[in-house]
Amino acid sequence: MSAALATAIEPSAPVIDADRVRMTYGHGALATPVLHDVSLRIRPGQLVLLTGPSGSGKTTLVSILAGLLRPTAGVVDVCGARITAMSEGELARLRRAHIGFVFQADNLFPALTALANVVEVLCLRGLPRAVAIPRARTILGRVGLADRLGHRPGELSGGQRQRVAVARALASRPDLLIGDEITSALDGATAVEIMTLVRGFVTPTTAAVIVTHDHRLHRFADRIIAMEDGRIVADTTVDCQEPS
Amino acid sequence: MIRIALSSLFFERGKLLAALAGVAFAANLVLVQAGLFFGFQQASTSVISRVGGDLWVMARGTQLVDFADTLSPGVGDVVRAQPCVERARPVIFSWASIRKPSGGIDNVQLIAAEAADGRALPWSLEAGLPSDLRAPMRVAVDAADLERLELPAQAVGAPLELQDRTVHVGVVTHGIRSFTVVPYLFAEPREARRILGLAEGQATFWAVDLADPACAPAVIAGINRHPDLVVRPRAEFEKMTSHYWVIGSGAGATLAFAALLGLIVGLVVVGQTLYSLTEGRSRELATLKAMGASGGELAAFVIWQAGFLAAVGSAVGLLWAAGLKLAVLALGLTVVLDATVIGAGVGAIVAMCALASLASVRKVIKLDAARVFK
Repeated sequence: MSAALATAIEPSAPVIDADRVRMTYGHGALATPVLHDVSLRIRPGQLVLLTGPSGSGKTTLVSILAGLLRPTAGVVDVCGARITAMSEGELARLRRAHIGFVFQADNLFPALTALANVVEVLCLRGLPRAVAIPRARTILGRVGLADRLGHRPGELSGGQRQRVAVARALASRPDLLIGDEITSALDGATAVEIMTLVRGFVTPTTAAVIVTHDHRLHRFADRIIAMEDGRIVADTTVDCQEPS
Repeated sequence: MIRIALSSLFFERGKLLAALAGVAFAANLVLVQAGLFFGFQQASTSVISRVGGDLWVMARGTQLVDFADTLSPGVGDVVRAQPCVERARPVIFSWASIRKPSGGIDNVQLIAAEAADGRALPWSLEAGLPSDLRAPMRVAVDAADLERLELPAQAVGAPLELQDRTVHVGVVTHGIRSFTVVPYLFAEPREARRILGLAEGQATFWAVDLADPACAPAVIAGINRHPDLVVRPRAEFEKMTSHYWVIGSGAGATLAFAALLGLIVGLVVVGQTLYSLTEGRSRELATLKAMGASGGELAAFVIWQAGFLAAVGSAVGLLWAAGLKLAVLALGLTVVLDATVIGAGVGAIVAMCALASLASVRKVIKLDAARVFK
């Protein structure tokens, strides 16, 4: 994160502010519109679930919000910065400084231990190794893997691997956590464990957007946005939530 | 990124070993072929280098040391008459025939010269002393040629029929071989003339030591006025001789081709391994890119792996080449592994690994980070 980018972000601003985002794949006769003027504002302190059937545009929307895909039209601000006007380098620096990712697959390096998988990403984000190691130990302890630090992904269960992935995403203390089907490969109890960790991440200064088909997760959400055919068809604020 | 890169490389031991074997093979082939090339160059010019001198005088038309007409007895005086000539030393380099104890006839090259100050001729003595050649009809034979010449293992004192004269082995040398592997026999100039039937003062070449190297052009011009003589700087004559044998014979091209083949094999093996390692970790690398890793940081994943393979593969290849150098000595072949050859060989391997990594580097830089959501 460059100093210029860091100072451009206002703490009171929405974490995500997307306005009339449109996305079309292909050109001419082959053009396939997948998002139709989607507008969305997510404030700090919210855990938002993005739901909808396959092909409804959830993954495309979350890719745009994460700065991994450029929309055909519309503007997107993340942490107060206009990401639709950023260069690839600026987008990378913004993701590095502000966004944590958890995916359906853990995407851990099989050659590295649980600890090293977290430490190396922290080092890549600019933390000195002397700082990264204790921080990684702490976060892995917090997700219940204090006794699995030296294990490689192949020696961990699916739930443990996903907990390492969550720890990797949270260790850099992002402002925004973006997840895609992070519990779809997990049993019910493990899915609850993972979502409890995510719920615990959301504070008055942070937010999380999780794409999911899993109805079991609704009780963790502050807000559930339903999509269909590239449009937001429902945006529900949930009153009761799972305590963190 | 170095830890991620090297851990991933070590994690896939099969691929690591295959790639290391490829690099080591390529390094070995490049080093040995280059070493043989320089070894052949040394072998073809070893006598010229050893005799030394600033200039060499020879019969006009002479292209290499191995084929030259014998000069008339007065040439030595012509050379000595030139201003600035400090010393003119006769060099006899002549083909001769030998009759073996079994009756067979073989060819040898009989060499005799007054050595330059501080240098012995012959050199690398295994048995006997240079002064032993001062006795009448004594020659030096290389240990590697004893079997070919049907001489006993303890050859000192053994008789030999050379040019229909009986000579005796006074000295045994070690590792003095010609490019053509025709045996070199050394003798004192006086004895060589007797064996070859030459007159006093006759020689094949005259090695000229100048009082001042700056006089060379004047001396060359002075001697070149003689219609039957030509003078060449020693370095030029060495180059002409080695070019004739090493390049003209096709040996150099053959060695270069073998080295190139080694590099191509290494290029393919390393390229495939790096690409396969990158392909296998593309999802994890895309995750790092999504998290904000730059193209340069992702390229470092491949570059560290390529660097490791180049360093370790070159070291193994160098050890392998050093072993082969010792092994082929017994065959009479010299593999030169000096700083130049090692530097050039390692440079070629580093370049090969860099080239092999290009496709993988391009792949990681072009990785689509959005694929992690698919």
